Parts: sequence; C-alpha cells; structure tokens
Amino acid sequence: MALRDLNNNEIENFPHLKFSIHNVVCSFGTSCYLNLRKIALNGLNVENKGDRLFMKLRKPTITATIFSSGKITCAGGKSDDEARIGARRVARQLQKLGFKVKFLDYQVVNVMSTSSVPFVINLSKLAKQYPGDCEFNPELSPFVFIKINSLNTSVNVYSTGKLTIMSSNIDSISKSLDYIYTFLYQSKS
Amino acid sequence: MSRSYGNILKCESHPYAPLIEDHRAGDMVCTECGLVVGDRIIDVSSEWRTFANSEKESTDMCRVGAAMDPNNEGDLSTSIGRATGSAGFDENGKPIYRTKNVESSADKARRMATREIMEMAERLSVDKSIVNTAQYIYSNVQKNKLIKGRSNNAIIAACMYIACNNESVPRTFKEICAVSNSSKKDIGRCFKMIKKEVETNYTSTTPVDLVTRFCSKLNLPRPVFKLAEEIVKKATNIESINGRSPTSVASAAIYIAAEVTSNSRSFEDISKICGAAVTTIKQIYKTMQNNVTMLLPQEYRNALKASN
Repeated sequence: MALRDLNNNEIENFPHLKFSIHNVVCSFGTSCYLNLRKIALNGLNVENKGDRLFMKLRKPTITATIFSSGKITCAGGKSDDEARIGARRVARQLQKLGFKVKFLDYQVVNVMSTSSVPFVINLSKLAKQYPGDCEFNPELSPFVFIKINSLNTSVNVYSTGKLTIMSSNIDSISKSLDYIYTFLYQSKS
Repeated sequence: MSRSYGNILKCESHPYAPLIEDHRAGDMVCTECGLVVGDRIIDVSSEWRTFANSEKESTDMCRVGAAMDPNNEGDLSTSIGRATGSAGFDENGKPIYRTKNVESSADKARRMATREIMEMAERLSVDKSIVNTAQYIYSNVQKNKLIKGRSNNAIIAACMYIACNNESVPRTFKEICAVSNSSKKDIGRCFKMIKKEVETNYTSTTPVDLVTRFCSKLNLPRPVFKLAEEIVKKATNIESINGRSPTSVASAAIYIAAEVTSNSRSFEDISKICGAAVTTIKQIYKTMQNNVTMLLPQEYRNALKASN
C-alpha cells in the first residue's frame, strides 16, 4: 500500500504501527436473575454499591460489575483472551454460589490501546486538514479527538505523537491506525 | 361600492391601466378615463404628525407596547401583577388575589436563563448583541431538548461562551467559569454537546484574540499591545507552542512584550489576570526565549537577553 503525502510523493518506509492494548471491556449475560445480597454475603472479593456489585478477580486482573438482571460487565483485561477467561471465571463463581448461570451473548464492548508515531505533530494543522469528525479544543484538552465512524473507533492524538485508540473491537485498531497515519504524516511539524 | 371582480381592482374599460390612489378622497382612480374604481380605501399611514423631541419624554404615540424581544416572539400572553394599592389587601394585610403561576417549566427555565445570561454579561462586561445571541442559543437548545440532565448553569455558561466566540470577542473558559457557578469541566462538556447540535460558526480561540484584552487589563501602553500581537502571530509556528492553550501563549507573549519595553509585569500578575498557571507561562517563556530571533524584531532582542 503506497502512502502519499500532500505533494503526492510516496512516503517510503511506512512503518507498521505497533499498538499495545491496555484495557478490554466485555459484557455477557447470565440468563437468570441474580440475588445480589446473596452474592455480596457469600461471594469472594465482592463490593456492594447498591444496585450493583463489583467482584474483583486476581488472576486475570478483572473487575466485574454484576447487576441483578444477570448482566455482567468485565473490565480490566489486558487482552481479549484475558477478558474472556476473566468473564468465565466470574460466571463460574456465580455458578458455585448456586445460580443457574449460562454464558450468553459474550461481547467485547470496548478496547483501549495506545500507540505512537515517531514524529511530532502540529495539532492545529491536523485539526484543520482532517476531513472528518475531529475536535480540537486547546483550552480544554491538549489533544485532537478524531472519530472514525465507519470503524467505530476514536483516537486521541497528542502533539508528542502518542495516540490513544478506543474502539469496539480489536481488529479495527490496526485498520484505524493505517487510515490515520496519512493525515498524521501530513501534519508533521 | 367598488367595481372589482375577484378582488382585483381594475377599470372596466381599461383593464390594464394603472390605478392611482387619491389619498384625500380615499379613491382608486383609473389613469386613462378617471373612473373611480375603488372607494373608501383605508389609509394606513400615521394618524397624526410626530416630531422628534416634541415632548420631554419623547413618547411616540404611534407605538404601542414594549419593543419585541427576538427571543420571545411566540409569547404574547399577559399576566396579572401583584397588588399594590390598598384595595388589593384584606384586613389582615394579606393579598386578596394571589397570582397563580400557570407558567410551563420550559418558559420558567427560559426566563431564569435570560436573567442569568444578562447577569453574566454584566460581570463579563459584554455587549447587548452577545446577550441576544446567547439567549437565542439557549432557547434553541431548550426547544429541541438537545441537552438532557446537565445543570442549567453549565448550559447557560456554554451558551455564553459560544455567543462571545461568534461575535469575535472570545472569552476563555476560565473567564466564563469565574462568572458562573459551574466547573470548567461541566461547561466544556455542555459546550461540546451544544456545538454538535446547534449551527454556529465557532472558530477556535486563538491567542491573538485574547492579547488585546489581557494587555488592557494589565494597564500596558499601546505599543506593548502591538508587540505582543506580533509575537503571538509568529509563535504559532513554533512546534511546542502550537498545541498549547491560547491563554498561556498569550500570557507568555505579553510577559515578553512587557519586559522588553520596560513595562515589566511579574509572572504572578499576568497569571492572575489571564488565568494561566505561573509554571505554564514560565515554560512557554523559556521556549520563546530559545526562539528570540524568530519572534522579536531586532531592537528588542538585546533587551530580552539583558533582562535574564
């Protein structure tokens, strides 16, 4: 894939951007109502916040938010495998407490990852040139917020070149990085 | 009796002839034959003559009622006021007729917002046109229920921010935060939401817009304004200054301009007036120092180096 800059010259050595995933949030449903009081009293490592419980696991470091309707959200996984294992562990714990738990509709909801570009970026130039949904309020936050609707991703671009990518699934991260790289390169300062 | 057919006045024998209005008699007369085509034409011009400053109060008897508020075009209702004379109160001193407020919550909110916006405008010393714009934006937001569940003060402050920006007299978030009850974070969030929904020609505040106002608040002489503006315009080309908040850049530029023309203000003074933190101003000042040749014209460069 040939990248071209503003003067239509090919950019050589287009680096494949590496990214590291910091947080995977997933959710699943148990198809039964959960008695939060029973879980809070008998479960391990459980915190009570009124209408929901936080169950913290140690082995994959996962915090699960448990609702009485049976919906559970697990956050804190460092990779999608970890998230899935953590979610299953939570479900297993609930099963041991006596609930007829099933593992339904497992879905990764949110993935937060970081990446970086090896050059300094001129943020106001990027904000002007980027042809899409992009916000830059230097008074409020020191980054440019780019939203890529087709990939369901949003990227925070800092002037040092660091990127924070938030997306709804893992595959779209590398795609959005490839997409954005041209514009970042063009706004190189 | 008008000779009209289908409400279009025309002469029977000269259907295409233009008609002249005779004001004195109230007739429409055909220019070709002089036939009176329509009579008892109602004259809609002014009933009596008014001269400027004819009476001390200069009341124009042709006008009825107060000027129409553009934000309030739909509301033509009147309400009964509170009792003032003795007939309005019973023996115990209580009012006989208590006005029952049959105001919808939306109208009430809008009324409170209007008042709040005017108060904020006073504190910010801002023009009436901006007050109108802010009220318009607020009524827009409220009518279409664009923002749910945010505190009213934050929404009002955000409307004010946008209005000031639209009229090219931008106020920074910190200034607006100082005259309102909500936090900068809340105002920022409301602002982002409003900006998406309402069509505004919002342009991001640049340091150039802010320099003049801050300089005058610091009581600096005119040449310093111009120098600071120039510095700021050139400073946007420097990498590390580019993404910085406009207040900080403006503050550092003002510091340099003031130093160099021997009107120096301390970092603390500038920080207090502009709202930027002292450490931030110092950081940007250092970067600017390294780029003196680019920023300052020849005469002042030595002055800057000497003052370090």
